[in-house]
Amino acid sequence: MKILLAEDDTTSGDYVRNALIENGFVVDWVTDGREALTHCLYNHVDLLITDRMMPGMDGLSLVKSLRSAHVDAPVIFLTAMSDVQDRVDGLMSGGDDYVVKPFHFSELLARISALARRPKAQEQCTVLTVHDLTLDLLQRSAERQGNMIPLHNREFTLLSLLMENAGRVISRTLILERVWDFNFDPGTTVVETHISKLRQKIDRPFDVPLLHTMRGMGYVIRAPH
Amino acid sequence: MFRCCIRCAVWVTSFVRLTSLIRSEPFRAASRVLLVFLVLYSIGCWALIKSVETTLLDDLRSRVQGETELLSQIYRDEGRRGLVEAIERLGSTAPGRAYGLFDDRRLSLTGPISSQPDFLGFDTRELNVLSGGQVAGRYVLWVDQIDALTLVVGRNDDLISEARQRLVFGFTGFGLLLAFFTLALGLWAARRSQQRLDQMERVLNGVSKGDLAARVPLGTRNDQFDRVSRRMNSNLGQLERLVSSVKSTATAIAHDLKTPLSHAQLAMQEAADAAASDPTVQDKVGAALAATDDLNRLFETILRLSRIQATTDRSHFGPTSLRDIAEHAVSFFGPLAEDQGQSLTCVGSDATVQADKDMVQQAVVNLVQNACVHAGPGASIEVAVRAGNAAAHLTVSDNGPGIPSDTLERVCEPFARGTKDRGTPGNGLGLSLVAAVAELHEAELQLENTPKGFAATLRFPST
Repeated sequence: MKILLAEDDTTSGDYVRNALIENGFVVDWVTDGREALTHCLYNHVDLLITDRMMPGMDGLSLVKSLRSAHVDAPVIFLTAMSDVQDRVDGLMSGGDDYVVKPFHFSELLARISALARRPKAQEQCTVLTVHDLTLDLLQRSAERQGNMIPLHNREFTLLSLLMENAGRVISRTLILERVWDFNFDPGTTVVETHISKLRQKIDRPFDVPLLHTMRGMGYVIRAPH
Repeated sequence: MFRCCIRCAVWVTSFVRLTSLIRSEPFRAASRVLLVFLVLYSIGCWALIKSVETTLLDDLRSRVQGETELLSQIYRDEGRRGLVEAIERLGSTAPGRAYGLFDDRRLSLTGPISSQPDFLGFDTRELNVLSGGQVAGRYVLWVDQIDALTLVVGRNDDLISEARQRLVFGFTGFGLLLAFFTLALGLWAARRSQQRLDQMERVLNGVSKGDLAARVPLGTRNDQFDRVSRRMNSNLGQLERLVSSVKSTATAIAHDLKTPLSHAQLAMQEAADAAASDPTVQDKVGAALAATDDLNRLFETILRLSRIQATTDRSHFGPTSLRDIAEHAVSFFGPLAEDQGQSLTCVGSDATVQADKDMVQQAVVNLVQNACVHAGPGASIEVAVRAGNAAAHLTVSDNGPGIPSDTLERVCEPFARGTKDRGTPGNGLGLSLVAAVAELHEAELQLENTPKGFAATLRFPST
């Protein structure tokens, strides 16, 4: 998958590029909006990750120009502009997702995966499996070692988010946004409490824990090594 | 029927507009001036009519007196017989005149006046049908004694009443015409003022809906409206500059201060990845990451608060169900409340308000969070939604200890946290944010200690 990263801040750019390459992506990195536009117009790009404020051309104008030139590659904004209106502007200009700095790389990775899955929605598998835990997305039911696990609606959404990104750390911000549709962080331990309730259902009665808390980073569900 | 409804609506609108014009200050001023003028005008007209009446009466009296003197002369020259003949001749030829002649036994010798008046000199009397068959009326009478005879000479005062009637009619007509034109002028002035005020109101409405570039159009007369409009435009210009400066400062802060924070987090994440095999180091890096997360969250909240306080844009507001928002917050905090042995419920009907859903959701989340944190273990917390005619209410109440009354007024100030709160989570911005969201929505935030505990109410104007 070819990703173009448009980021004028060298520290962030360097880190994101290296981390993406480590995760198996092919990455080109430009530091100027106009350069990013030229690159997208003359090269095939599967995904554009762009800052909002850049020299040459700002991120919004870049995406608008790309959309008017019928370049339909998905776009993720990676920016410090965090207001709801900024997000709305980003999505209205033709962007597909919006990640606010500072961010956890795992969160960016989760959003890239979600976008990469989007066009093949019909082929998407309907049963997610991590070790001996399975989640049927159509039946909305979870099962572990042959035992049905009853889940509330939000628990189901939370578990499916974690299992769709099995092995990747999911940040609290992403959980709040995807499970509760909150574009703000209330800053309480509520997410931890929800995770703990979920853990009681899917881990507590069994020998091997699957749901882990990564302190300061988020939560991950993964099979034991 | 449809056309009839439209016609009715047009009539109602015109009526409402006219009523509002009549209540306006220029029309009232015109009415007050007209009232004072009409009172003075009536007094003036009354005095004038009285003066004309007196002049005419004096004239009539002098004529009657002159005639009496003439008749006295005839008596002296031709005796009683000559006088009777003269009276008979005069009475039969001159209309509007009346005569009477009586002897010393008060018997009528001639003339249509058949009974002798009970006075001497001038008076005005109402006479009934006179003996000569003439129709009676008001007469100015002069009664004089000539030797043993009593002579009565009278003149009809029709001239005076006719003059009075004409004057009253003329003055009334002129007064009514004047009143009509004054009121019409008042309405015209009121309409002109109303149009200027409507323009100003439209501009202020536009500004409150986020159109900060809206300005009041200026006229060429440099009247008081132009002066007020100029002042308003100048203040709106300042407001626009202030808002844009706050926005650009907020954006600059977001970009300039968040970048180093972002670098620190990235570096820590790299350190965490590098120390994947050492759980102790990973845990310590995780703690540092959690601290930067807290810092970032505080920072985000300050930015969000300042943006909400600076914004006047309500153009993106949409119909928002308070019940949905309340239920969402209750389901979010449900497990936390359960862990603390608290009961958290949502009650009441539904109410739809024009709002920014995201902002109101955050405000309600903050209120429920406050209740969960401060009401204490085992408390019961209730989120109630009520729809009234004039307002929609959302109340978060609990049976906890409440807030000391001396700090109640300050809790909405940023970072205003009592020493008692220091040990509990939160950054002291929660209620400030609720207050800012309420203000933007023209809603009222009421915080009060109740007999049960504490209640926070958001009262939205009905849509």
